[in-house]
Order: sequence, then structure tokens, then C-alpha cells
Amino acid sequence: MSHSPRAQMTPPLSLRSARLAKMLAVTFAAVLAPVALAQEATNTPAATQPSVGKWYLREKVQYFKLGDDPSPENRDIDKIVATTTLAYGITRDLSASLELPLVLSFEDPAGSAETDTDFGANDLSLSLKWRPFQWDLNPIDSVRLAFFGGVEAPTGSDDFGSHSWDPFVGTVFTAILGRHGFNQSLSYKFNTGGDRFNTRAGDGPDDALRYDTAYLFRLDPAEYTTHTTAATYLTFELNGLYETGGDNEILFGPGLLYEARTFALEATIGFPIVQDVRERPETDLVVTLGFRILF
Amino acid sequence: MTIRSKVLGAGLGLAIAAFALSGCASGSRTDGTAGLTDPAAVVESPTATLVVHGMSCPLCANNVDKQLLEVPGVSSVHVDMGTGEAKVEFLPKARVTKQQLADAVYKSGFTLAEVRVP
Repeated sequence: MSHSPRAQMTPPLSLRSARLAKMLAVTFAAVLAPVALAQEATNTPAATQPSVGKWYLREKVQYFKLGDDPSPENRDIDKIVATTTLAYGITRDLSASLELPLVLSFEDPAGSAETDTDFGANDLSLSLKWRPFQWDLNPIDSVRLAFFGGVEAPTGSDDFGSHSWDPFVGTVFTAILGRHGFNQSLSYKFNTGGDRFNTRAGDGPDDALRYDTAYLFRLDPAEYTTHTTAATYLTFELNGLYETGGDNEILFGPGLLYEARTFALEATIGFPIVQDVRERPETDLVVTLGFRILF
Repeated sequence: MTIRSKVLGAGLGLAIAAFALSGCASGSRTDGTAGLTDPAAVVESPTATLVVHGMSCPLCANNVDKQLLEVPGVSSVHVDMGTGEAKVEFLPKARVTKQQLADAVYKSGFTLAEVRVP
């Protein structure tokens, strides 16, 4: 663990006000950025997409606590990341999406009384999702398989982007059977650039293999009825990331998802259950709040 | 062989297999007209009931509402999650065909099992 003197520091009022203003700006941007896909857990993809000609907007605001920084600065890092995703249904089985993360970062180098605060955009991601397999078994049950691919463009700010074109490919399997939903995704990102000791998992110079599993249990209602207009789910996720440099991390994330007819709200907390990370800071905690709208 | 080469090879193989098999999957599912008798016929009733499969959650079902409401002549849609039925009401003198309703369900991303006209 790093030994930052942060606990003894009290930032001056002006610095704290600036921090608060930036946090509010990120949160405000998140709320204003209207989105939604259903039966999709917070951090695991699903083989779902908006219908033809429809848009879906999703906003996730995440707090990351990172520690054990291997860089010479031995930083303690807190980050708030607001990720806006906009997806569009091109055909029944093909959709396009765009994802833009905004980052507010607080870094406390060991031995320094100063907190480095930074705000900027991470790389913009553009992708296509193609769902060639779909079996709707009865009014509720459905099994689907989709493939996706895209690229992270070098559009990020100096301190956050990887400054490289990084293509990725992946596949996701979704099964919804009664009250139970299951998503399994596997994706691989070919990193063509990136800095060692970066603070965004999977953005370093090594390629990144993501393996995500999600289980959703419909808490309420137990059975759909004529009058059902909303549903609440318990979600459990295992979000794994293996980097070809040898780093490996799996986060466990229980959460809640509330779905109404036109919007959804989600909250998840994630913490590591497997962590073998040497080339970037470890993820100690992730808290995610999200909002989705279909329009 | 590096991990990157293996992934590229596996990805290419998967893509080719998926492309080859997707025809089979698409052929086996409803494309909006399968099972419909006389799809070009105008629905001569103020209402119709569509039996839709795969509407597994409230937010998903909203796609059905949105697509059906875009059919000219449809005045309202009520999706019953309990039965998987979408009850459609038409404007007076509307000339909506079963094919138009089937197309809307198809575009919503779900599977139409049946159209019932009283």
C-alpha cells in the first residue's frame, strides 16, 4: 500500500471549492446527458440494442479508488468518471454506439502536501454491435449472441488519453429465462500505444482481454402481470481484465437495477477478489451510479 | 505464436463461422410475416392483439410501443407483460395491414408469434 500523507492534509478552502465545482460539473453533465438498454448489468455488456431508428442514452458516473501505485510517484488516486454512451439501432440486428468518458482525477503523490487535480476527456470509443443469433422462446425467455468491434480514437486529453488508435473485438452471450438473466462477454483490445503506470485499467501498452460475467435476478415482480410497468433486479458481476504484460484483476460487483418503461436506474459497488497487478495502480473500490433512457 | 496473433486468428474464425451460421439463425426466426394469413389484408377491426415473444423486461417492451405507434393509423398501444400481448387500437377509418404491424414488431427487435383480430 502507498503511504500518502493525505490523511493529515486539509486542502485550502479555494481548492476544495474548485474540487466541489468540478464534481458538480461532472455530475450535472451526467444527468443532463439523457439514455438505456435493459437486462444489462452495469459493467458487463449484453446482446441487446435499441430498435431500428431509435436512440438510447446511458450515463454512468463512477468513483474509483486506486492504490498501490507502482510508479515513482507512488500516488493515491481518486477518480470520478462520467461515461456517456449513445447508441443507435441501424437495423434489427446492427447498432452503432459512441462512448465518451470525462474524468476528474485527484492524485496525491507520496510525500507531497499537494493534491494534483485534473479534469479532461478520455479517448472516444466508436463501435458496431451485430446480433446474428436470437431465439425468443416464449413471451419472456430469450437467448441471444452478438459480436462487437470498434476502435478507441486518440481524442483524449493529454493526461488521460492513450494517444493511439486501439481497435477491439468481442462477443457477448445473453440468456433471459424467467426471473434469471445471464450475460457472458469476452473482448480483446489491441493497444497500439499507451503509457506504463496509466490509471485506466486496460489502457497501458499491453493488449487487454476483458472477461465479464453477469447474473441478474428479478426481485420484483416475481411474475409479470397485466399491470406490470417496472421491475427491480439484483445484479452480480465478475469483471475480469487480463493484460498481456501479466497483470490480472477480477472485480466482484453486486448491485441493483430498477427498470421502468422509459428509464432505468442502477447502482453497483465493485471490489477486487483477484488482483495481480504490477504495472498500474490497483483498483481498490469502484462505486457506480447509472441512468438509462430510451428515446 | 503471440497472444495477439492467436486472438486475431480466433476472431477471424469466429466472424466467418458467425457469418456462415447467421443465415440459418435468421431463417429460423420470424421475419415479420411468417405465420400470418393474408398479411396484406387491412385489419377491419378497431383493435388487434399481437402476441410477441422475447419481451423480457419493461424497458425492452417499450421498443414495441414505440415502433407500433409509428404505424400510420395506430392510436394507442398497451403491452401486457403478463401475457406477452400488445393490444393495438386504430384510429377511425384507419387502413392498417397485418404486414405493417408485423414489420413494426420486427423492427422493435422481438418475435411476432401471432396476430389476433376480433
